[in-house]
Amino acid sequence: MFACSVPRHLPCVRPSCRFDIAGLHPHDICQVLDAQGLALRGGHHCAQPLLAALGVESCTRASLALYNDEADVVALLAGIENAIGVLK
Amino acid sequence: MSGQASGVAALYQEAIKDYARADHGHGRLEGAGATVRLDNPLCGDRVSLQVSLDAGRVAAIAHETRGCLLCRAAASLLGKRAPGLDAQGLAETTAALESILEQRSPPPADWPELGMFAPAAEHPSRHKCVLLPFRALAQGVRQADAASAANQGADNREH
Repeated sequence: MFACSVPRHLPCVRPSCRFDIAGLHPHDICQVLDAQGLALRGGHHCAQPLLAALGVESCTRASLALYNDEADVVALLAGIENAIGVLK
Repeated sequence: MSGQASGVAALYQEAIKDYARADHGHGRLEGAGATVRLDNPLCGDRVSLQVSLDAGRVAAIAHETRGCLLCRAAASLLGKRAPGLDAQGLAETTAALESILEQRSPPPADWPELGMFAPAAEHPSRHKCVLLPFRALAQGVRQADAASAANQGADNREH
């Protein structure tokens, strides 16, 4: 299992989640997820100063909207497992 | 396996991962002729590279590369193969890589390893990831060449 970090000390004000998977670059993760029909964003998110302040180089971000449901989240988790398999 | 999924498997083939893991040339170089740092601001890839020349050819190269697998594999390939290249040879190799990415050309016979980047041709947004280390080395060779010429000029004036 790979280490996955989510900043728990920040208040959750939006239905989005950013995460890191140790040893894997966000763009590679997003590329593999994209091929599975999962649209996430990876990189700086136009927020380099904030990421630097948080001690993070870049990250992957999943954002949910009104049209997403539990099945989408299940698909995301399965997609992340697959991405780890492809990239490691 | 769907077309997209097989495309991703090809993009991240074992050769790419092996080169990225091996990280040939990782580190810093004492007494380097030039030091270069290039970023891809859109994705955060960063190559910090040092190079020294001997008679216009790469004598030693060292790099610290932070980025995706494609960028790290390209930097590692240069760490292994760049010694011995001159500016012309590097330009030709870079042109061959651009042709693989943009026109799906086959790799040149003397650089078959460039073929591992062929699947990236289908992903234009990733071309800069592959090319960033080559751009950094080209800039480093230019700078080292210029510094060498300036030192030679100073030596000549002293004599």
